[in-house]
Amino acid sequence: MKGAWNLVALAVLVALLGGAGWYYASPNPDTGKARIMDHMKLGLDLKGGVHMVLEGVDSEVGEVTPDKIAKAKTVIENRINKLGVSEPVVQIDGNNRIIVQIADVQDTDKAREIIGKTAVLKFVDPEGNTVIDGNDVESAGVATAQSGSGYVVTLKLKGDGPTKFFEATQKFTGQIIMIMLDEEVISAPTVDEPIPGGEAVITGSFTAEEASTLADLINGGALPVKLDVKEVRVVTATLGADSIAKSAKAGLIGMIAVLLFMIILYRIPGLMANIALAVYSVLTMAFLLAIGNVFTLPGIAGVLLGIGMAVDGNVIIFERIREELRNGKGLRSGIDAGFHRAYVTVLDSQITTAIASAILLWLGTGPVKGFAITLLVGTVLSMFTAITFTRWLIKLCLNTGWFNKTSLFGVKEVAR
Amino acid sequence: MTAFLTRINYMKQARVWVIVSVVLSLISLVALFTVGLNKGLDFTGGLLLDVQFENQVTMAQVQGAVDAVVGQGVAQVQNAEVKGAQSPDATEFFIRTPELSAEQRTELTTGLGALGTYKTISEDLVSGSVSGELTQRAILAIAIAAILQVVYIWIRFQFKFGITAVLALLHDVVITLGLMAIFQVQINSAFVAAILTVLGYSMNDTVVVIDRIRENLANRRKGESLEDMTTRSIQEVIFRSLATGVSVQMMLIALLIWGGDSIWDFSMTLLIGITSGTYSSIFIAAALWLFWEQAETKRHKVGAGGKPAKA
Repeated sequence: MKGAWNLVALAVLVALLGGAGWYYASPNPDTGKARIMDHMKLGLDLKGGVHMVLEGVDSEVGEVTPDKIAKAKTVIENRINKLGVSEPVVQIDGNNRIIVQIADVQDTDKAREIIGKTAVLKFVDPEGNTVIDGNDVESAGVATAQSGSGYVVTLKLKGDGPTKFFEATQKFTGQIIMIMLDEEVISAPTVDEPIPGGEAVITGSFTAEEASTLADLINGGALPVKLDVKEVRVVTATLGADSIAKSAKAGLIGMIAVLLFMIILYRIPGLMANIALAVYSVLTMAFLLAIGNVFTLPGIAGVLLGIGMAVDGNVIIFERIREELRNGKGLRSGIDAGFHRAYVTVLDSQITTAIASAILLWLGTGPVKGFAITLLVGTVLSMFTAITFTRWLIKLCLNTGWFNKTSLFGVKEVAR
Repeated sequence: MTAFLTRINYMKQARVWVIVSVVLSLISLVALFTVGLNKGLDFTGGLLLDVQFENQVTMAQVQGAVDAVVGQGVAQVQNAEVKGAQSPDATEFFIRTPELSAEQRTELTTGLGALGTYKTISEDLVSGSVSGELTQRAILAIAIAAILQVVYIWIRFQFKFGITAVLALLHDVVITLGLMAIFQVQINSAFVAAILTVLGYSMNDTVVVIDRIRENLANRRKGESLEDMTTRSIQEVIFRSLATGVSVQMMLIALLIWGGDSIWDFSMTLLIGITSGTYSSIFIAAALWLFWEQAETKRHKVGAGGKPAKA
């Protein structure tokens, strides 16, 4: 009777695992991708996007202070919002760095340009004085040029702006007032007449897109410090999808090879270890999803390596059981003794891997961190599944009463 | 197979293996200091572009456009596998240049645009200062990981095992780095992760071997010499070492063949390191421990004329 119940438990477990695996691997009809992908947060290397590291440097724009970096962060956020992308990440790193991450951006070149520009706008009179600057601008817009072809950027001034602009245009009528962005002359119009009312226009041979980019930059505000681009990583969604498809294929083939290898080497216990491996994989994925882990390519490599480590735990235990059986122990006591003596070895060996991955997590940057977290989770969970779960599973099998043969462990002759 | 593996007298030729390993390590060190590692962008700084043209463009044309911006002989252009293109004529290239100014970057975009419609598949730009930090942190991470592992082994086993285990680790890292240098496999920041994994794996494998030696040392058979005991320990764990090694290697070979460009270097590093790790547990860690133990026993016998040393 007890045997029958154990068999039921085993069947239910296998059915649950198989069912869950089939469900999550099958495509979601809405997206056409495997259902598990609905729950996975992917890193920029897999879904495509722009990652930038900007560093504040002292310059004529201003010195670097924590305040200004914080303000620069807000400016960059404003600019990115204009790009209309979902869930951009802008964060301050250390004293003087800003990390920007944007996913699903189509025009990566444009994104990079918009984020990095200091965008200090100045109107400079012939004597070299700044008449008005970006701080005097309330808003910028785009209009078609009065000359007919091309576009212009219109500025609505605020505060003292209108007065200052009017006085300057009065004083320098017939002369040139240069409009500069980041020390670069973008337009040098001649003042035909004094301009009252606080409306200014930046002419230039802009296309509609250039004009709107410039207006967006001005609306977003100038960066209070000069930011140097330290690091840029751009991955298009195409490459990301390609990487996912390839590593999924490689992982699947590798997995199948390992599963077959285990069955060939260890027969029934090998099959049990494979079930334990499936449980391990489910637990690892569930845990990583639960902590909101962002999956990157190195992260997936970490998961695969963790599978290797989990296999090792089982191999160590089975070898020990085999030895105990060869030395003449009965099946049950052999299994008990095998687990008892092997688990210290498993712990010692896994802890060294855990130490290495913890150090990586602590000191690593970016992609290395992604690898470390999945390997650490995998190692810790594999200690658990190899020691507790495989053991329970093997007992379950024995209790069904179907597998009471030492030969199933690959042990041919038992010297009693 | 099993029977064959468990009958080899592993420690009989241990001296030969140790010498082979020392020679290989020396060759690796020479390669490291003469040829040097093929440092990727993360360690040198600069720009790496993967661009896809919709039309047929030759490598020479791309090289010309790049050289026009950065000058001759500083940038490399390579053919890349065409990824997810609609047009059958599409061509794809990797372009690597030193650090560019913002103006040069814009010029490059214009220059490439003149060759045809293209899109940037990926772009990596790393400034020199950032790459310096990466290198420093990488070395620091490896050093700390190694030290902590010795401490762990020291606490759990004994000092001699700690030292020989670390020598085995060093051996694996040196051989891996040496082969990377000889075959000029490009290294980047994921490489640090790979080396650390090799460290973790090598230590993992060594622990299993020394764990058995420790156990057998405590229950030595009557009249069994240290050498025989060590050989027996290895015979007892060799099957497991190989089974695990082969499992991980199968996974890595799958990644090498089907995993694509992005993780090829990473998988290759791991494959070399893990193969070396399996070997070194037996022929470095166990063998060196045996020599050390034997030397000590001899000295005790000669010196005090008394009991053999006990660990």
